[in-house]
Amino acid sequence: MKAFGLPLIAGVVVAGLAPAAAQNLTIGLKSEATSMDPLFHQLSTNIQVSKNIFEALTTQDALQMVTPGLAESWEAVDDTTWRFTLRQGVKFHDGSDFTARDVIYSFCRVPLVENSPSAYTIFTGGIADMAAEDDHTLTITTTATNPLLPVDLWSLAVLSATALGADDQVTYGPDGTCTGMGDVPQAPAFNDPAVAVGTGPYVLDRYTRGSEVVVTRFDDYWGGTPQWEQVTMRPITSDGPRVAALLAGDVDMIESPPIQDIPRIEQGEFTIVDALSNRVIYLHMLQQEDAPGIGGTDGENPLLDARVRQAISMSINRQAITERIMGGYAQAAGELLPPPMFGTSGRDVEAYDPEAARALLAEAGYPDGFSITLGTPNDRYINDEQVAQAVAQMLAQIGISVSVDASTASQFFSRRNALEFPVYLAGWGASSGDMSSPLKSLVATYDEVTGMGPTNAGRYSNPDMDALLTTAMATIDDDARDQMLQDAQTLVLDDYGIIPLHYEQTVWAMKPDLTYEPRVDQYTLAAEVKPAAE
Amino acid sequence: MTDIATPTPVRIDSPAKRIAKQFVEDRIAVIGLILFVLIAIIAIAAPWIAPQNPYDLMQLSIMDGGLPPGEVSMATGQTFWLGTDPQGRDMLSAIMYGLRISLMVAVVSLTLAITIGTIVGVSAAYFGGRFDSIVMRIVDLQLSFPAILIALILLALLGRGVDKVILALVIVQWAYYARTVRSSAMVETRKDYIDAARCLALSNRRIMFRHLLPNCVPPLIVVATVQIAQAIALEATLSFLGVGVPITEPSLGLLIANGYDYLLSGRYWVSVFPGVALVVTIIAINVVGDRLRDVLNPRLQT
Amino acid sequence: MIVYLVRRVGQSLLAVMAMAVLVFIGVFFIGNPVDVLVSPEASQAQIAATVERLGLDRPLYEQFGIFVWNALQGDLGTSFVYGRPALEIILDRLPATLELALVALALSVGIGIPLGVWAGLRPDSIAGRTIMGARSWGSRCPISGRACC
Repeated sequence: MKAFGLPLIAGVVVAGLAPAAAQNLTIGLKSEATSMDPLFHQLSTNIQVSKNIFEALTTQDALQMVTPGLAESWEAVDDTTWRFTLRQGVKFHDGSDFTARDVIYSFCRVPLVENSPSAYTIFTGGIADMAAEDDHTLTITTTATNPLLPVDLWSLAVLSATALGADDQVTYGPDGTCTGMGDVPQAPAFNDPAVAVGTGPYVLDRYTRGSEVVVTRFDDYWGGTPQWEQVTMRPITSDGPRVAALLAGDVDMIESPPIQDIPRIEQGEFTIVDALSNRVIYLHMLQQEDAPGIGGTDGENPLLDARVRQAISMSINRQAITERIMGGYAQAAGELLPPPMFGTSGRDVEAYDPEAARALLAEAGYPDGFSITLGTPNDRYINDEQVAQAVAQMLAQIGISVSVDASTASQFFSRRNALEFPVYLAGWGASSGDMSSPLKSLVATYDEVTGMGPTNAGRYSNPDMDALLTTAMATIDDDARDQMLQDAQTLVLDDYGIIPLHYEQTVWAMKPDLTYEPRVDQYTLAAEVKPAAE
Repeated sequence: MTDIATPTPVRIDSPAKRIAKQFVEDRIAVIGLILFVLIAIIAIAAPWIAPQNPYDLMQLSIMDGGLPPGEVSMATGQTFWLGTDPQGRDMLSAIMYGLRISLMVAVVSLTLAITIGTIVGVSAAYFGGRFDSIVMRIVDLQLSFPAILIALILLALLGRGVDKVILALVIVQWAYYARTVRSSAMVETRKDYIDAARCLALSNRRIMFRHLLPNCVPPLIVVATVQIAQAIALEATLSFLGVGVPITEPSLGLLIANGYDYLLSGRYWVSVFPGVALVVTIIAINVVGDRLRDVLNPRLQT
Repeated sequence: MIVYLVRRVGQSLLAVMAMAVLVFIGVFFIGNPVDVLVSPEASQAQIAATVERLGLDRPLYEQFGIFVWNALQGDLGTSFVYGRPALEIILDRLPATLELALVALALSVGIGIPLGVWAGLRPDSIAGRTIMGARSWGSRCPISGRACC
């Protein structure tokens, strides 16, 4: 391997100096899109590839603020009714016009998509009715108050009803009861560019599983002529080869280079951009009487005591983790979402104080500590296994003896959901970009009926917080909702119901003649890659 | 006159002595043996000679993480002759402890696998018939799968842990010994001395273990030396793939895996030193094993 | 000869069957695929619906029975991830696998046999010893190690 180092770097210098072929762009992605159907599998790789081809009524900018997309504007008519004014003069790739019918058709198709591993019905389930007042005015009625509807809509790609064989009249009905749908094409059909017809800046050229997705410029794009003649997105799943591909000039840009390789990439005169992501890495603690994997407490669960949880939080030197393990590409976290995102309060990061932590443990009745298992995935988050080991070291210093149980993501998540870990390390990316997302999933009381707390594998429960969150999630007024979410989070964090560790930073590396505005949602959107200003 | 009454005493060496004599004729094999003994001593004595206990989290500090060879600890002032890994583990100590785990796993699993394999193999050869064919079909079936695949599935089911790795290695290895012992025992069973033993109405157990087994040992030793290197390599591979020993108690394979991510970024020492230790160990055992095979195999004698 | 062939084929079938059972059990215990497939934002009810749709709520023997029955009819099932027939996905990758295997085979035969003959003719020469040494190294170095060195 080493022997190849020199020629590689030599190749880089040549590639770096040569005038860029400004019309084509090749991107190395860290995972592969599983389908070209934008409503098949809710997976970030699929989303970031499909965003080049398909658009939605709304978009989110790099900071996850909702901005107009195919809808020019919208308003909440009452608590459950929204009116969207659609953009005029938008063309699909096949030349047909974009109208309200396409939107209704696309949303109608969601429950009809077969074999979806992660269905988009989580966004359409709450839509009671849709009606086109005219070709460019659409009303959407929701079953319950949903202030986040415009956010949710970003996830729902608009397909061409005509290209997919719909009737002239498509009428909405909830849960797959629409009429006029014709013969609905399933996901595999979208490998055909004649079916994968959207309004986005790029047209699907070919999708070769395992090797590449190629898209070409859509000249009639409503938002102006797109930058690139052709964009190739190539999955290179191993970190080392992905970096090597950039250094060798095989690709122009890569996402998520491993942190430890960044200095080497920078030395090669490449541009590195990075930004805080919406992903927080946290520790969750099993807060119920019956907890496995704890020793030295006579069968009691010490994590039920808030002082013990506080001691754990105070024993962690977050600064050291972000500097030493994360190489500076992370930020110590005080909240479940980095400020200034929606619902954050700017709360301070917990101060590192092992002395006070030991005192708290003694006060709680565990002067000699106890032993506990810490579960962590080893291939899901940036350096996850290393972070877990560092946490174990720090807990050892206050007398808590930790055995780190690291496993691959699929196994980890299954075991976590089965409550096998008394403490576990995981991450949460708020796809909606607001505080209700982590609160609802991670710390709201687990309830299968209301669908709250699905990822609350610590079984934390705080009725006051639940009440506040439920009210917030049904409040349309942004300011009031913001305040309620802040208060709800404060209730949880004051109680040490969950312990935030750090926010991941997302990194992109590219040739010096390119630039990319880093996104908090970690998406690599080819359409947003621009030539660097001279 | 004297030729019949007092024959010149021909010195007949004991088999062990003969083997030892022939063994030392190959210098490389001797070097391999010395290396292996050294490695074994280091592994056994690791807790007393290693500068740090790399498995004790209290002794580690991430502030010492990723230091190159020769740097001095900020916390304790100790010198890290081979550098540290990202968790602040002294690589020298980690390698010593890693060797210990790797060898321990290999030796224990080997002993268990040989015991099981020998009992099964000798019984199959001695009793023959249906018992033999059933047992050997199972052996065939198992040998037709790659060992690594079976071990991976087993460990995915069992989870991480030294005891579980040993169990997995025993399960994938016993069949080799069963097959080896059976084939040599088959040959021996047909010989006269077994018939003689049977005529004496000795118990089956006695015949199998006192008469049959000792004659099956030489091929067993050869297979065992090959397999012990294989076992070390297999454990390293499993740990490298993340299903072996716990991450806070790394074996050589896990140390290599941990350092793999840093190989390209210049922190070569995290991966390279344990890699060298692993390779030297395996080669030393192989060299010894090859020589033993030559010495023990009568057909290669000239 | 025919008896021998029948027996070998029977054994291979048995091996395939045993492998299928082993892999099935292995995959079943390694983790519930839904836990990684489904969006983290999904509610409990939505997760349960996905599990049901993919047939993962049925007992293991039933899932295995369905798999074997369909496999006998040439249907290896539908990939959870790609939503397309598994056979199609395997066939997609087959050319690359075959290419690798054939080139590797050709190289190892082309290089291995002459070297082996040479080492056999002159077992005590430096070249012979080097070749045999390299062989013992190559055949026993861990797979991962060999691939990266």
